[in-house]
Formats: sequence, C-alpha cells, structure tokens
Amino acid sequence: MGHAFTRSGPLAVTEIIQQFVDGLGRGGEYALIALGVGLIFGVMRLVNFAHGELITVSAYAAYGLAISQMSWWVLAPAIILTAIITSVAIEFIAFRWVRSSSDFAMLLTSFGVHFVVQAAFVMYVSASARHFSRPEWITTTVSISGIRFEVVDLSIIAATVVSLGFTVWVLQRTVYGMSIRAAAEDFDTARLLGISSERVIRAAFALAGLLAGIAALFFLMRTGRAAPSAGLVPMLKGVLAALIGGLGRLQGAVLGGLLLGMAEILLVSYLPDSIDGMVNGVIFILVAILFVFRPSGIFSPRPSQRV
Amino acid sequence: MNTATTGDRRESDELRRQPSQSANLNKARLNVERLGSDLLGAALLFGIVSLGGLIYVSGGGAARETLFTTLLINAIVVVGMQVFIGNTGILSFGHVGFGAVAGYAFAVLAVDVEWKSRLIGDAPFGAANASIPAFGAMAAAIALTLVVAVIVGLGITRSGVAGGDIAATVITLAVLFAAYEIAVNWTEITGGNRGGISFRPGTAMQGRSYAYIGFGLALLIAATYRSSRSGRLARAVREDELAARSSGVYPVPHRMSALMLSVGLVALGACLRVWLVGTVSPERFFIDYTLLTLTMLVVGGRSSVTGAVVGTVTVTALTEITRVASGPDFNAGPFDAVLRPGLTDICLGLAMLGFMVLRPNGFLDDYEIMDMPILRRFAHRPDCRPRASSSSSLSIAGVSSSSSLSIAGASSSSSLPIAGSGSETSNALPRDAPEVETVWPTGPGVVGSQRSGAVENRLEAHDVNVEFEGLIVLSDARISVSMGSICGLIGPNGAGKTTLLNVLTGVVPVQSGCTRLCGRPIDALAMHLRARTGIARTFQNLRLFTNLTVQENVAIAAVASGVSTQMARSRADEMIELIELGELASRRAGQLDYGASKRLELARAAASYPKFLLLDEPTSGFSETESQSIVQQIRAIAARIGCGVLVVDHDLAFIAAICDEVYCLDQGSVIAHGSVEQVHSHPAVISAFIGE
Repeated sequence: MGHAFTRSGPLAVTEIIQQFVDGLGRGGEYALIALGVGLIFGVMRLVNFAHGELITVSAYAAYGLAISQMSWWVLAPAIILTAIITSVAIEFIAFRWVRSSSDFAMLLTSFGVHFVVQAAFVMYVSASARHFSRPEWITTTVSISGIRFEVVDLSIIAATVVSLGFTVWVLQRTVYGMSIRAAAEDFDTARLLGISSERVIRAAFALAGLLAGIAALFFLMRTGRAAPSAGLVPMLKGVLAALIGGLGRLQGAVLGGLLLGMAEILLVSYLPDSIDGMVNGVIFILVAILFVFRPSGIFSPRPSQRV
Repeated sequence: MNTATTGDRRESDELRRQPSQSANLNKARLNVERLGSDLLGAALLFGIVSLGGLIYVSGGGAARETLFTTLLINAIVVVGMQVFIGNTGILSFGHVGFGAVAGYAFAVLAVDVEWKSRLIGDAPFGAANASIPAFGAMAAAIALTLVVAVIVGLGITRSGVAGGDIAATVITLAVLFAAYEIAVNWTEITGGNRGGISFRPGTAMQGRSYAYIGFGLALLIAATYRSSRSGRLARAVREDELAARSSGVYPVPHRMSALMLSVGLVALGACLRVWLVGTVSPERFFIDYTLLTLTMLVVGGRSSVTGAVVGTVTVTALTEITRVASGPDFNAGPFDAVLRPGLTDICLGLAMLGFMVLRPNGFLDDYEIMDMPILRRFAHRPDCRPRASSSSSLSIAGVSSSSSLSIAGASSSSSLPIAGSGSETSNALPRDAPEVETVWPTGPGVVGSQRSGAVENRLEAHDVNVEFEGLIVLSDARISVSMGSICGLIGPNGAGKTTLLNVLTGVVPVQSGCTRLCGRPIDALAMHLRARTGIARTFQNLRLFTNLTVQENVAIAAVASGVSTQMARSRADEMIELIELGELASRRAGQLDYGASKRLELARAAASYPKFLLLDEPTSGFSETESQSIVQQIRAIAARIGCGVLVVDHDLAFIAAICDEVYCLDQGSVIAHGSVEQVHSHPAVISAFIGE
C-alpha cells in the first residue's frame, strides 16, 4: 500500500481523507481477521493463534495456482475456499480434542498447530519465501473529486462492508447463526437444548475461515508472497484488534480492527525517519501500554459477572 | 476498621498461642525446616542433573559439553518461566522477549569497545564507548530487563477478572513481537537482522561453571518462591481470582513478584545464552525459542519446578535426536520424506499438541521432588496433615474438644447460643456468660458485643441503590447486622439478595447510599481490603481453589488476613475440624463431594476470623439432614470466632432454625424485618412469596 502524500506542509483536507481511506482499507483486513478470532472465542473460549495459518495455507495454494499460470479470477475463489477448508480441518484435527480443556491448554494447542503447519511448509516446500505476480490493477488509483484513492483500498472497504453485512445476516437471521449465538452465550445449555455442538463449532470455524479467506485474498494481492510464517503478523494484529475491542464482542472486533489500521497508517506517515521501520514494534508497544490502562479492551463495558 | 477490636484480636491471637510457650521458637524452627526441605530438594535435583551431565559429557567431545551447557542454560530459562506461569497460571509468550532485552543489553555492554566499533560504531547513549566486565554487564542487563518487566507487568497483572488471563497472554505475545521488531529495526544498537552483535572471538564464555551456578540459583529461587507466602497466594489467585480477592488477597503484588523473579531468571539465562554462543541476533530470541522453552515447560509439567527441569532434559534429548536424524550426515534411506530440515520444529509442535490433548499438565503435574516424604523426614518438616507437628496437634486437641462441646450445646438448645466455645480461649480471656437472649458468647477478641449494640459492632447498608443497565436491582435497601447475631436474608428469586451481599463485599459498587462496617464507611474499599477489615463470604456457586488441598484452601484465607504461616496452619486445622473434614485435609479440594465442598467454603471464609461472615445459600442442594448438620457447624464457627453472620437462603426451615432476626427483600427493597415469626407472618412477605 503506497503512500502518495508527503509529510511536510499543513494538513490538507484531501490528505486527511486519503489517510482515512487508507486506514479503513488496512483496518478492514484486520477487522475481518478479528471478527473470525472473536467468533471462535465466543463459541469455544479459544484465542486461535493458528488463525494466521489460514492465510499461510491460502498463500501456498495461490502460489501453486499462480505458477501454473492461472489468473486471479481462479486464484480468488481458490484462496477463500482454501481458508474455509483449512479452518474446518484444523478444528477437526486439533481443536476438537481440547474443547473442554482449560484456556491454557487451548491456547497452547493453537500455538502448536501454528508450528506444525509452519514446519510442514519448511519441510516440504522451502524455508524461504516464494513469490507470485500480483494483479495488474493493484497499484491503480481512481480520482474522485480531486482525491486519489487506491483501488485496492476501496475494494477492501467494500468487501469488508459486504462481509460484515453477511456475517450479521448469518448470525441474526439464520438458524446456524442463532445456534452460534446461543452457544456463545452458554455452550452447555445450548447443547442440552439439542443444538449440535459439532455443527455449531464447525459453522463458526467455516464462517471464520470465510472471513479470513477474504482478508487473505487482499493481503496476498498486496504482497504476492507465500512464506511459512506469512500469516503470523496478520494473525497477531487480528488477535490484538479483537482484544482491543473486547474479546467475544463482534462489534468490538470490527472497531478494534479499524482502529488498529488507522493507527498503523498514521504511524507510517508520522513516525520519524530514524525509526521508520518500527511501525509494528511501536504498535505492539502501544497496545501493551493500552492494556495497562484498559485491561479488558477499549469498548468492553464493565463486566457483570454472576457470583 | 475498628482498631481497638483489631488490637484485641491480635492480642487474643497471641494469647491463644500462649499454651505452647515455645511458639515463637517453634515457628522459627518450622521455617528453617521448610527451607531445609526446599534446599534439599533443589540440591538433589541439581545433583541428579549435574551428575547425569557429567556422565554424558565424559563420553567425550566438545559438542557434548556444549550441548549440556546449553541444556543447563535452557533449564534456567524454563525454571524462570515456571515461576511465573506455574504460580500465576497465566500463559506467557513474552518471557523470551524479555530475554531478548537482556541478551542485547548484555552484549552491548560486554563486548569490548574496539570490536564493537566494527559492529555498532554509532550506538547511542554512549553504548559505543562502554565496555564493562561480563558480570557487571549481566547485572546491568538483568536490572534493565526488570525495569521493562515492571512496566509491562502493570498491564499483565492488572488484567484480572475482567479481561481474563487471555488478555495478559496476548500482551505477552505483543511483548515478544515488539522486542523482535525493535531488534530487527533499531540497527544502531542491535546490529540489525543479519549480523547482530557478536563477541570478539575468544571472549565468549570460558568454562562452564557459570551455567552450573545459574542453574543452581534458579532452582533455589523457584523452590523457595513456591513455598513462600507470596507463592501460595499467587496460586490461590490462579485457582479462583474472585474467591481469592474476597478472602483478602490482592492479586497484583503476588503476580508482580512472581513476574519479577521469573523475568530475572530468564534474563540471567538469556545473558548466559548469548555469552555461550558468543553472538546475539533477533531470531535467537523469537518465536522458535519461545516454542522450544514452552514445550519444555509443558512436557514436564508447568506447575512444578521439578517438571520444568524434567521437561528441559526430555525435550533437549528429543531435539538432539531429531537434529542428528535430519542432518546432512545421517543417511535417512527410505525415511527421507520425514528426516529433513524442519523435523525438529514439527516434532516440538506435535509434542506440544500431544501433551495438550492427552496430558495437559505434563509428565509430573504438580509433583515436586521437594515433597518427597524422605526429604521431609530428613529435614524434619511436618507434613501438611494436622497431626504431624507437636505444636499443631496441641491446638487440634483443644479445638476438637471445644467443637464437640459447642455442637452439643447447640443441639441441646437450638435457639440459644453455645455455652463457652473453645477451652483454651476461655482460659485466656474473661468472657461474658450467655445469660440473656441478647448476649452472645463472644469470640476471642470481641469483648461483650451486644446484639442491640452500638454502631461499632454493626455491618450496615444504608439506602443502597444498584442498577444494571436500567434494571433496578436494589432500591434503598437497608440492612444492619450486629456482631454476635445470626441474621437471615430471604426473598423471592431476583429480589437482590446476592447483589446485596455483593455490595457489602465490594464485588458490585453502590450507585448511591453507603455501606458501613463498625460505623466507618467502606464504600471506597476494594474487595480484598473489605475482606481484611473483617468481611468474609461464601458463594452461591462453589468457588474453591480446586487444585489446592483442603488444608491449603483454608490456610490461604488465614494467611491473606495477615497472620503468620504457622498461625494460619493451626487455624486451618481448627476450622477443618469444625466442619468435620479432618480426614480429608490433604485431599485436593476438587476431589470433594458437593456437600463437603460447601462446608469447605464455609471454613475458608471463617479462617480469617472475620467480624462478619456472609453466607450465600449455604444449604442449596442439601438434604434435610445435611441442612441440620450445617446449622450446627455454622453456629459452632460463629461462636468460635464471635462474628456476626448474614445468611441468604431459600430454605425457610433452615432460616428459622438458625436466625435471630430476618430481613425479607423483594424487588430490591426490604419489605419486612424482625424475628423469624414476625417476618413469616408479615402480609407483605406472604404476598411476595405466594403472590397477590
């Protein structure tokens, strides 16, 4: 994602708008990941550190198709489908066994999954990154009333809005969505009422995979790179976003993602040159400091706990 | 807090210790003995590992020696992580990040100036021209890391009930990534991604004694912390934070002290690691090392120091085998598809998955070599069980006789309180005889508390209002309980009974109105401070420290109220006798049946000798016989410590059997107050329970 604006001079309105859109574009990606993380946390109380593997596996799928000269029209659905299948597969292979375990065991299970997937790519593909061509239109910009927008930013924003709308529709209006919400409220009771835990969890993982797949699509369009640890940093940002918004609160996850994206874009443009490369480092520090003051995230209300 | 009463209480505690004249001596001996057992255990562990290492190394080769030294250093790091993760139960990914801070600081300070000028010639803060001996550099690096840890620790330790431990975990992950990003990008001082900082050839660690010393130190610190007061309280918070807080434990200092010791050890290990290898780069202290050390910790068992060491040895052996097998010199033959680079990581990942699925508490769970009976006997350490030491068996004898006495008293006259509780106490203190109904036998510290007593002896809520998102839960609720009396709180479901208890204990803040203890407002006091001023409670749904023993559950509440460890132990024994769980004192609380668990919660609340004991549905789920026996136990306990009791329950027969007066709550307001008969026949109460 390029930054056409300059750092000197007074802040023009156009610049603010450009940065805002830029931030929304970046934040939309994080929001999609965070939404998936929050969804799974809601159903299982699991913070899925293996959520980044959906991006990693999709990246290799895209790489495999790209080297056989497939166009992005093939790659795009393949990436999303891979993410969904991977998500459900990881649940089936690993998380299913620790459903009723402690938070500790679940966290480390997802951590272990991350390493197994990463090491598998190191063993059977390569430890070094593989590159494939990005779509041609990725750097094009459009001009709307004198303000230049990157097409990719606008499409991410559009995709985020559509996916959010779809998620809300699924959760509020479909039977699956209602069972997911019920299970998120009280898993055991939902089960006793005859809601199949298998199906609910699988649906949640599939939905989370879909959202991660859309995020992966844009991430890969921008980077065109497949590496064993490709998903690590996006995953971490997504988890942080979910946490900033208050874990398990889906609106919070979206807001957290957008906020993180905005912060990142602002840091990219206003950090002094000497520590220009440290955007991620500064973000992680800021988030850690944020939690000193708001231990349960920004948007979470005072918890009402039954005792 | 009423200082006079507290003073009396302390005094009475002193007095109660008088029977055994050598109490202080005993206490000192006890501490030395406990320390002795920890020291012996640590020494034994150190001896086993060192001996094994020496035998392995004597097999020949510098490679073996380096491997074993690496093992020792990894063990320092893993034992360091165990101090925090094991005692607080918070999973941390950030310890390796703290290690990175220490490793870099050590390298920057210890590498000689001339050599450094080639690597990081323009390092800021005068670091380019500073070079101090390795030990000084190590100390400075550890100090710097601790400063960073304090700042991060504020976030980690404060994210409590609200955020859950998961928030803390994610913060630690952010620390790890932040450390990595800084190491990669702040090239002026870190040398960046590729080169990093290395020692001039020949100036890296010579000799291996440092690793041995560090390992011994780590074992010593971890073993001592484990049985320290702070360690115990940290584990209570790990088990149930809300219950710990309401027993008077404030989690932050204990989590913080665990973090500091832990980070200190990890920093030490990191410095040694850098010194041994002779170089530091970002990848060395990033996610791969995190995976390695965490796998070591969970394979052995995160709750145990011994487990940390066992895990380190096991995983080192595993990685060494996979390293050789996947290396270029090994002819893999038909297994080439498996035996190739990346094998070590996949094995670590699978080991972690396997253990999380099949044995999440590791090989050893919370078994410690320090607890081996032979070591205890060797150090003459008294067993956890009550009867092992002469001093505590003495107090037990006194208590059991007093409890049988008081129960007999209670059952003979159900409405009247117990005649004279506790033979030793009555020897020690002049006490009022229970001559009229309004005067209760008093506990050790409370001289002549009267039922109709002044505000000094009351726990009060005045016109309390509480609203949850528009729903009015309490509206102008008023209640007043006096020390020495047992007061009931009844009302239909949703009337606000538990909320009133939560208001009094500080779980829920008041929106208007006020709460007072002995005439002083307590609204501003946090949960743990209220517990320390003398308000203890039980919970509607069980909140025990399930992985601690029955004895520890009770003793921790006493420790949190500020008494000495020995005193706490004898109080625990006393309470456990009163609730008739003496046989099960060394069982884990999680293994108890429901009825015993409820009784244990009662004993835990009483162990701090509170002024007021608030019981939330003590008979829920009980049969009639069980309810009857708990009536006697509550009476015995109340009489023993002379507290006031506020009991919420639905079982009106139970309320009638135990209470002197009753409040009835409906829709957040008190609709009736008086004797049991008065409240039962009150028209408002009848209509609230039965409907119009």
